Amino acid sequence: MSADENNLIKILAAADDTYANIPPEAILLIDEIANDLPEYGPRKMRKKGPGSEFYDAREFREGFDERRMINAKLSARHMRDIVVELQAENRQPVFFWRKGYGTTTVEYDQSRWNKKQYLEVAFLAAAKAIAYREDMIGVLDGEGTYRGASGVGSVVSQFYDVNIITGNLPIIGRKIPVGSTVILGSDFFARPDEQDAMVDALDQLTGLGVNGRLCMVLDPAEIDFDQFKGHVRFNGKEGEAAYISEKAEALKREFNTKMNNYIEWVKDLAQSNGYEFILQRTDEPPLNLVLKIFGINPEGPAPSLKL
Amino acid sequence: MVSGAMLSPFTAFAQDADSPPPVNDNGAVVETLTEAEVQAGDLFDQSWLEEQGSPINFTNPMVLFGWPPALLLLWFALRSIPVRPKDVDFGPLFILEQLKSLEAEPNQMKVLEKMIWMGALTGAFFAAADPRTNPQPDFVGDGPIIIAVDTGWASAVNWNKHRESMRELIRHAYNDERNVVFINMAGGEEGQPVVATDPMNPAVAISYIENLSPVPWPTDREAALAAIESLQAGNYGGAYWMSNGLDDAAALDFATALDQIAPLTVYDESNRPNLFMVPEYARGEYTLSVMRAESGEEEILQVSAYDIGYNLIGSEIISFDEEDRVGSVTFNPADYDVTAERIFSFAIDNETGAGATVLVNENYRPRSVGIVARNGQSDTDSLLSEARFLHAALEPFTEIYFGSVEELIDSGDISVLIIPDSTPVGADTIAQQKLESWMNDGGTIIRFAGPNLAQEAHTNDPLLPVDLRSGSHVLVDTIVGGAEGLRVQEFSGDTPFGSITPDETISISRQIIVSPTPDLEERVWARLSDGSPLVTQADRGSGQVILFHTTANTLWSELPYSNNFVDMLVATISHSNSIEDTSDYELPVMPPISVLNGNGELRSPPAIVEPLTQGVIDNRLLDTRHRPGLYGTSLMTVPYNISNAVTSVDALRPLPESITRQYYRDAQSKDEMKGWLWSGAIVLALLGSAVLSSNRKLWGRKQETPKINKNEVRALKL
Repeated sequence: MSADENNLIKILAAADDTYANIPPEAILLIDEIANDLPEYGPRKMRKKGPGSEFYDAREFREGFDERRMINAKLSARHMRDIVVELQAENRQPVFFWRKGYGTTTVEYDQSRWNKKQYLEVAFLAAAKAIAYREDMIGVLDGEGTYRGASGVGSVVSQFYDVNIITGNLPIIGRKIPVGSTVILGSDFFARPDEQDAMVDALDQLTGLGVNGRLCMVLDPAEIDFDQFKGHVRFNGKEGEAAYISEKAEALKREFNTKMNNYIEWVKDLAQSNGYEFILQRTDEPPLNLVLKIFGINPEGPAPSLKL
Repeated sequence: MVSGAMLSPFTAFAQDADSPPPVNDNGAVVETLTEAEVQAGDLFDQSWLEEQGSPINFTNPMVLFGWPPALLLLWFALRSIPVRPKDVDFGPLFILEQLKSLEAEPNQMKVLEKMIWMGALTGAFFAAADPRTNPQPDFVGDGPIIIAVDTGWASAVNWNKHRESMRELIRHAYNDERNVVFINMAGGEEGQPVVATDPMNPAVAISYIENLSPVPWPTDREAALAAIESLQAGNYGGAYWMSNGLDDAAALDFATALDQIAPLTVYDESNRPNLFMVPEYARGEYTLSVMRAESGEEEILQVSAYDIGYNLIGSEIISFDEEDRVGSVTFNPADYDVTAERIFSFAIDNETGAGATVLVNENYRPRSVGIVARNGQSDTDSLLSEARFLHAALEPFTEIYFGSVEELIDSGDISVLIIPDSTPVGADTIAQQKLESWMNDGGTIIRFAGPNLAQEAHTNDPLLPVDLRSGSHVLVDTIVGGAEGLRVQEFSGDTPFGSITPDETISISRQIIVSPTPDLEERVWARLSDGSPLVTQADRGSGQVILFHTTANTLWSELPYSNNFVDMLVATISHSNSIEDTSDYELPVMPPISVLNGNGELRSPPAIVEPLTQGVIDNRLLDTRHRPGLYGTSLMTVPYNISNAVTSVDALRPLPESITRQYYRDAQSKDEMKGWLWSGAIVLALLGSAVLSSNRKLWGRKQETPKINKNEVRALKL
């Protein structure tokens, strides 16, 4: 990859007003993440599917998995039913999607990215890394897939094009190849009356023969509930009624419990549809999310020194 | 001898109302009261807290009864005020919807905010109750206390503070069941000596200080030092010196001696009195100087001039630099369209006392009259001589000298020279030249017409105010008015004779006729009934010449028989300049006309005041018999001011460490705490309002419009 290609985003940003919407600090961070990824070795987007290589071993889930998928050897060793999934061998296009409005745009702390910005930075960095391997990339509710710099430019264009309105889940306006990988990024907040719709949407994607990563990105305030104290009025970003608490800190324990339950529900939903579930806090570096997308444990051994 | 028992206030005041209380030789009131009388009432109308010696007292304690219910009402009122929460945007709102604890607590103001409002209310109630500090003096033993009070002229500036401090001490003595010994350090108005009174009970002591006032002479601390020797053997609860803040030679000795009798507290004056120095008058301007007792700070004083009716003429500012003890300013009467003669006194604005006032009197400065006599000898023996009439008219008002022109002028003591017709100067050119020179230097010449002047007079005579009729030069109208003669016309108010009423019984039979000139009108001071001039005047250099167009005896008129003659002469002499050289002027005995009291106000002189003499001035006497004021006669008066006798003022020197020194407190604002409490209440109320308006639902919050409508999202879903 040439130096010019390495600074692709900057060049695009300078050439077209559309790309100028990317904050300069985001451009630098995207470049930094994309440049650091090779330290973790040559990576490709692993996905489950027909193949011969081991992909994942997990507990058997009644109702989701077929009994024939139970691996007798591992199940015997662990004294419970274990399912082994294999890694798909064929390369298919990668599609990104992130929720770009409402709850993902809430600013809890000016010192850190909101969820939308966080996802865009991480996804663009991942897109650059994938484009480097000359895989096809695109945006799920956008148009077309591209390879190389064109692919990244397309993602940039469609992420920052204000005319594209995204809902709680992606809108697929065209046919996508079976076996494609989708990387979904959102907080996946859905009111009880909207949760069925979310289940249906994921089922539909699964039905199209695609799966991949479901990245649930949450702000620390939404997980820990530590920064709300005293008399607080909570206002929604999507037209909900406001809720007032005289003593917000008193809500913490109950809220944490409910939020954990919800995260578990989203996780189950993702995994039941064949998605790898990733939970990411925005107070951690976006690099962590990118690494998780590539199947690398960011808290694992340090990468080898760059030569 | 005074009894140790306390005096009932009611008994004491009843006695005061009916007749003066009996006094002993030292002026102390002797009273004896029973214990029951003492307990019958409260002399000072004190509250229970004050009687008990509480350090804080309330003037309106009843207000405090409303405080607890008001706090309760406020508490409930604050509970009912809705609060405005901190607004935050939140994503997982649907989780909050499911929380049971949400909105479980009432929507109320925080306790700290409530405390702010309740503090404001408490401050307001306590301020309305008007709390005052009630510091307690450190009395020792159980004997009476000694109050030595400077009552001299310098105490007038802050006398209210002095009296208030004495009242406080007496009140504490009353609460402590002690008597009071007074030392009036300037003596009494009627010449009473400086003595220590016998102990008097507080009720009498209050009456005593109410009758005490500053006097217009200095405090006599040497006499006070001698007076306290009689206190050596006593047992006293404390000594308090109400000083005027000024030093003198005996101040240290007095303080030390008094401190040895009882622990001394000296009340010092932060606002020390100033001394208005005697103004200097030269070339039509006054130079006003004020001396202050200490330097160290920049200061501005305003001094004002007043006429004899105490009408304000004008004011000037005297500025002191930090190091200045004396500040001066020039006061030019012309700047205020008045003559120097109109100014009667100067005073420092906003400063009371005889030391802040000076009397001036350019109008009645010493003037002596010389009458030119033939061969230097007066011919007053002759019943019809002019000199006899003139002498008789002026003798009660001024000094009169007879002599030749040269003798009188060379004496330097003459301010007015009268030339009767019987002593003509026309032929004596040397005398004429001397007269001209003296007149141009400021002298006033009064001439009378007569046969001799009729012979000598000529035009452009500098020693005549007007030209006499030409032709035969002089006309003697022998048939003026026929057999009756002419009357004197009403005097014009613009002339010095304006206040004189013409005597209609007198007639003028002969006069000298003037030659009409364009400026004749403005030179005429008096006319006859036919309009012809009777008295004319003209300025000559710094002096003037005045011509009576008739004789000073009865040869041509009946005027010398009349009081008009005396009045016109006195008015003419009053219009003259004073003598230039007063160095060898021996002041005659000047009886008091009016004297200043301690507050600097002019009053009729008491019988004890003695006339002013040169000896009084030379010896700088200033006491009960020699007071500042105006002395003299109707023709000549002399002001005598504090600064004629007191030449400087200095701040009270440092005293031994064993002596407590404290400043007087302001009688009006001292001890008051309500100002601070009101301020605190207002600040707390403002703070509470600010918190309330920022945290409460005083203004609605505009809901942010979501970027996408929920229904729209539903429509877009797969």
